[in-house]
Amino acid sequence: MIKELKDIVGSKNVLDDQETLEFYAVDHSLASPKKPIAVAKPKSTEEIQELVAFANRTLTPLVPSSSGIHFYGATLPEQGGVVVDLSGMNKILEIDPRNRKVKIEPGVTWPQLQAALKEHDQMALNPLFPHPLTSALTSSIEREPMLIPKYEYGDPVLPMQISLGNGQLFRTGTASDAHCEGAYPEGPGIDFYRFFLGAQGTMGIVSWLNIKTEYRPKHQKVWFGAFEDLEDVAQPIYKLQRRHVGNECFVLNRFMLAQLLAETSEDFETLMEDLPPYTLVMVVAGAPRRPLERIAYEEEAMHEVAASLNFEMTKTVGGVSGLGTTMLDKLRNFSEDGDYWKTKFKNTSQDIFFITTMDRAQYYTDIALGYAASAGLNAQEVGVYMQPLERGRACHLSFSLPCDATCERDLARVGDLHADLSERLISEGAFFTRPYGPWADIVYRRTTQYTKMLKELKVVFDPNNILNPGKLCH
Amino acid sequence: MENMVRHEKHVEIMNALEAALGVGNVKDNAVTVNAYFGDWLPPKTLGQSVPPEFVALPNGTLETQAIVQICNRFKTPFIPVGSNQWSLTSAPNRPHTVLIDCKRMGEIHEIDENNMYAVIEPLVTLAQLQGEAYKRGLYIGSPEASAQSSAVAGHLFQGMWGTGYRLGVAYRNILGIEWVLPNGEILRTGSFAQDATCGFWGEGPGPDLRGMLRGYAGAMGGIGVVTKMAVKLHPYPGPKLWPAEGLIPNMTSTLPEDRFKWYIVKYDSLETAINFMYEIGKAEIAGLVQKWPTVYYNWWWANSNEEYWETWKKRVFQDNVKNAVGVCLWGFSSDEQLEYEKRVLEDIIEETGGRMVSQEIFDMWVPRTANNWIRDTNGSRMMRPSGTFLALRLQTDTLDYSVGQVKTGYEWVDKFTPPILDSDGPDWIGGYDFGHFGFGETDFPVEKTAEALGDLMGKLLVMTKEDVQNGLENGVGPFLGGAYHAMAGEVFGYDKLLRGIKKAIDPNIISNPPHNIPMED
Amino acid sequence: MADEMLLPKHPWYHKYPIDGPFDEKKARWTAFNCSRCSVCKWVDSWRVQGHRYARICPQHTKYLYDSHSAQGKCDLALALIDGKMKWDEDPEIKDILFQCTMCGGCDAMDKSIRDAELIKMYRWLRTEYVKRFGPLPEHKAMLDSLKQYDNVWLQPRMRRNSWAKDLKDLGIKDLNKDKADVLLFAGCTYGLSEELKDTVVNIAKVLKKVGVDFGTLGDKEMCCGSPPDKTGNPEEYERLARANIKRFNELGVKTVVTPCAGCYGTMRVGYAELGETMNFEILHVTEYIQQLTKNKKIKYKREVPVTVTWHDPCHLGRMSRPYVPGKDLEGVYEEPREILRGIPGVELVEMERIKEYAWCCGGGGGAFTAFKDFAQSTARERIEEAKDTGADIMVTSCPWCETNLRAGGSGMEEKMEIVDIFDLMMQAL
Repeated sequence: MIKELKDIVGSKNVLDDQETLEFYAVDHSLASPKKPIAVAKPKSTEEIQELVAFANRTLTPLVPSSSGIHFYGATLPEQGGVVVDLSGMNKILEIDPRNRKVKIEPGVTWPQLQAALKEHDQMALNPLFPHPLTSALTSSIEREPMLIPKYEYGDPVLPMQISLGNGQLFRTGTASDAHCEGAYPEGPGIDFYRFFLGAQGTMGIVSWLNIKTEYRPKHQKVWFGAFEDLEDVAQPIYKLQRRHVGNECFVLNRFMLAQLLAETSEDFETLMEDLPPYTLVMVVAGAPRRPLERIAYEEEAMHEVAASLNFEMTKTVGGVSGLGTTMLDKLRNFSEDGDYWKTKFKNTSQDIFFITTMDRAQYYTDIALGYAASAGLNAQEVGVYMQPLERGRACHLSFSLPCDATCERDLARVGDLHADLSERLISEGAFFTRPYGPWADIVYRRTTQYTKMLKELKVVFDPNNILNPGKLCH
Repeated sequence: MENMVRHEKHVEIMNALEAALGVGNVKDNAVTVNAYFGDWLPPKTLGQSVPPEFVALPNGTLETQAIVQICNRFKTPFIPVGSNQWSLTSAPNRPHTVLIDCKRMGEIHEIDENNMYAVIEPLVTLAQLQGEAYKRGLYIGSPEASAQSSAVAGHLFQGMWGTGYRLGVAYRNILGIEWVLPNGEILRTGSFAQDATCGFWGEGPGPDLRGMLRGYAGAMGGIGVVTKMAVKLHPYPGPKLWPAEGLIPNMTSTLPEDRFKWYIVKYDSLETAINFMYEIGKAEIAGLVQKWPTVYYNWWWANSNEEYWETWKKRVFQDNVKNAVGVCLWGFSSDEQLEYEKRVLEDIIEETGGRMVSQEIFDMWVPRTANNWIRDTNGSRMMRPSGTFLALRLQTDTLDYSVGQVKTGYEWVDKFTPPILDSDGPDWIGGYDFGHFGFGETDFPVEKTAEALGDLMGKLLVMTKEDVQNGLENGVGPFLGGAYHAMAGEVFGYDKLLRGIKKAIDPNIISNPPHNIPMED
Repeated sequence: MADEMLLPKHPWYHKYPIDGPFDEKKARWTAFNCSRCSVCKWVDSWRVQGHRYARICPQHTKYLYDSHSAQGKCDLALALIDGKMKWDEDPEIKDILFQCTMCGGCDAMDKSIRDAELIKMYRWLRTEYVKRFGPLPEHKAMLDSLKQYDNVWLQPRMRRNSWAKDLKDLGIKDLNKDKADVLLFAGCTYGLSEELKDTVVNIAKVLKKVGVDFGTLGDKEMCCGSPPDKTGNPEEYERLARANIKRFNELGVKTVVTPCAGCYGTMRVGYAELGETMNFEILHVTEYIQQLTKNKKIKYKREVPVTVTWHDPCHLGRMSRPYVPGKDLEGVYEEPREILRGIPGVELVEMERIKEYAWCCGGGGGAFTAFKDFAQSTARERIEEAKDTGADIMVTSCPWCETNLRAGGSGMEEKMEIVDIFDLMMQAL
């Protein structure tokens, strides 16, 4: 088998030493180790196709992996097999500023992508301060929420090329027609692309993806709103979004913001004292033309909304000096090096995230903090992040449970909390659209018909169940 | 009545349907079924459609499920219709069809003003939903099928609303769905999958099964019946009551001038007009950006046949709005936003060499017609001058690509004239998603006679086959449903996939066969 | 150039022929060019205010199947004309054709997108039906009454105008003997209904108050012909219509005013199509009064503190003018509203469906006599709509509307008073 893999991708691109296998057996989730039998690193679509053919021939699972780091267990081989590490396919294939899209391979990271797009005054729509090793392609097809809710599209996905589990090389949208420029995702036939989003690599292996890009503002101001509760911030965001104010718009609790901003432990402690419980971060940005005029009218609208709801948007919160500049730097300049902000001061954290509406965010947060406290966690150190989606019609709500990964007891405690809290949240209507790891069971046993249909679909696209078996409901 | 062929188990089927729906909610008599196989397109005119055998009116998901289960039992086809607007492929093409008419399913279950969505049944029209939305400072667009069509159906088929430039188009406007599959099972997607009362979110869980429902022209009733849908609503700076003055057919509409402003800007060529559209998108301004062909200006403006042809013969629009782009600015935030956008637009007009259309033409066209594209986009007017219209080129990709498409459209229009009537090189190009993509369509009047339509349909099919063989996806093709997918599926690599899905959900091949793809028996 | 343009061959696509009889050719044209757009089922989108009151067609709203819509009737017409269906093939053909109030809602909405005359197609269909099968039994009684008494209510001629017998002091002339420039044509229903008698008296009093010198035809007044016209009996209609035109010409009156919307619409539109010379103008009483008092207000003596909503009768509105493609669907919309606004204390609030897109009362087209349940459910829908405005009363000026709305509302828990505009005026006068 190893020989066959080497024949496909080249000897140097097949790894089966213990150290490597153990590395790929774990990630930053709470999942127990799951060792592959090998890691293969293809460099081209043809090699991916051959790997899929191999997998079908030998009934060997393939587990696609594009990022250099993983948090949710999606790339751990549940049933053994070969991890297909696509991080080496890291070309930006095409930047199209006229049509505002970019075509990327799986291994392109966010820092790489944003730096390349910057040359064209463009930027891609990234999630919240992604880890430098995160694949932009994976973020996009896994529907990680964008920071900018003003665009009506919730995901920036355009046509892609995908190697299906049945061996077929398929192009979605107008990429299926060689005459087209790959700008429209629907078709051919039906909206196949939707099956491949949120699929955790169980339907196919994407070898390239077009995503939308937008203008990278040259003029912008960052505004902050201090709030005691999420309940207090929901109405302001509803109103601001209805008035079409702002680009980036998100809410972090004290803990998350402190983690983001602090350079040292002392900074962190000071910020934990000074920052408000919740901070709304909003960037008011200029467009390519008359940028300052746009900023002016949006700010005026912002202040009108604030006055009408009795809150204030200010240049800083917690008296933090230079907060706007710091935030902007973090939003616009992604470093390829450095520590990951979320694990700088606490070893790791386990996230629970789902979709809900902003008017229910407080309710779920109360439940989460209550459960955290009952489990013996310091509720002050539970991260809360609320990301308004699509003009505020819904939100991504995320709780980060701090965890010392070196402590078995802590891992167990947080593991139990994660499971119990997830179960409780879903029973209260939290919608887990990205059912990673143990969420899959919680979700899919509730959505019986959906689950059944997904399984039928899986048979069409991956009849031998060779793609990431054991994930989702497969 | 001609073409009425009864199933050998007709009486049993009727009994079963009546038991499920109640007497009076299913009919099989001549005058009823006769009202369900007409259309604006060729099938009936060319004798290609037949009446359904039954017309059934369910009152919700469970009764719809019962009908589908009965159809499975007797292996008899069914076709679902919403408002049965235009009846594109919902005119039965084979005997023994049960036509599922959603006339008893017209409820708006919920409108969530804060979270901007509505949960609706299939008969709710876009106009009804718009009326309710406006009261709440919200909005939903309307495609050419017009606002008296079913909002649900309009989300399952094309849906290139003019305001999609800013607010997104129909395929992305769908949230949770409740859906009776052809095998009789009820599938709920999005947040409905988890809670049937909660439709606010559309994706997942996990892979998104909404993918089965659409594609450019939808599934033509080939994947079951959607009985409930949550749809997005959008912020709207307009008045709570749609402003309309005057009497039919000469109503005018003027939206508040502190929040809306129309421009019609002319260019010397299609390419320069498209550049203008690109610049607007990049500048992130405007609520609607459309390059209408001159025939559209006339179709939408004329209020009588005489007015249409007299205006056309005098070349009123051909000489004044060729390569003109209609832009409507919307002041979402404030009147300051509107002023800002005016300044930006005027900068762009100057830089790109645009010229405003004459005041006379502007005053003639805008008050009477422009706001159609926001309120109802009433494409039924396209039937007026010759009885019907058709399209032969339709593609969605980049704006630049749309130019190429409509230019090949000119060639085909010339080639097929007659029976295509005079239409001045019809080249409709819409800008969408702030110019991320463009949509090009070639529509033209053709006289509604069996001779003209038969001739043209034959030619269009040949053209479509040629396109497909050349690896060219012409968006008109999917309007033909199964016949197109059978052919194009092989070329674009989706035939086996689509058949796999169809087989999984429609084992008895009863959901409007041969849509969405023909299956071997 | 126009010469080089490829244009439709059929001349009617260039210009719809509004002149000439509405025959099978026109009926087929109307039916064939139906594009199934469904505007005939719904209020024009620009006028839809919300979910509840968005429909225009009473028949389709009640019976739901598309066969019960204008589109369905087009399909039916096409099938019958082309011989694909036989007239006696399906007993429901009768219901499709006659369970319709001929309100013109579909007709008006259809005119927003094409040149067509749906109501004329329905009249043609009904005529063809009656030719083959005779009138509906319920309509036969009406026809027999006309033949015998020249009115639709089986009342002896001498009872016509009995409302005026106690009004000699008012100085209403008998135009069979005297001369006047204005003829008050009450119509069968106002003329003979006990229930509406006081209303007619008030109409006469109002006319006198504003100084009109008028007369009536007394018991010589004949039906305008509207009921037979709408129910497929053109010969009877023409007999009455031509007789009336002849008589009005002989009288030398300049103006014929009628309070009945049905008579008004028939005379304004139908009589003009007969090709006879008409030396007089036809006006509705509200139209006439508003013309007279345009520049000076009527002197009301009392306030009538009430919130009202106005119901537009179909034949006073969208069905009251000859069709000219592209021209506004004019009607008597503003005059009654101006009158109401002029009455001290009255506040006018509007329903959602008004003017050319008003919901029908349910009483027209022969539905009142032949399909009571349908007529009354249609009326109840209108009453609900009126109630939702918050108005105290619904005001109108048509005897069929008033009668049917009252009948329909009688079974409702929360009732709404239906008041004739002249009764309201008299309260203030």
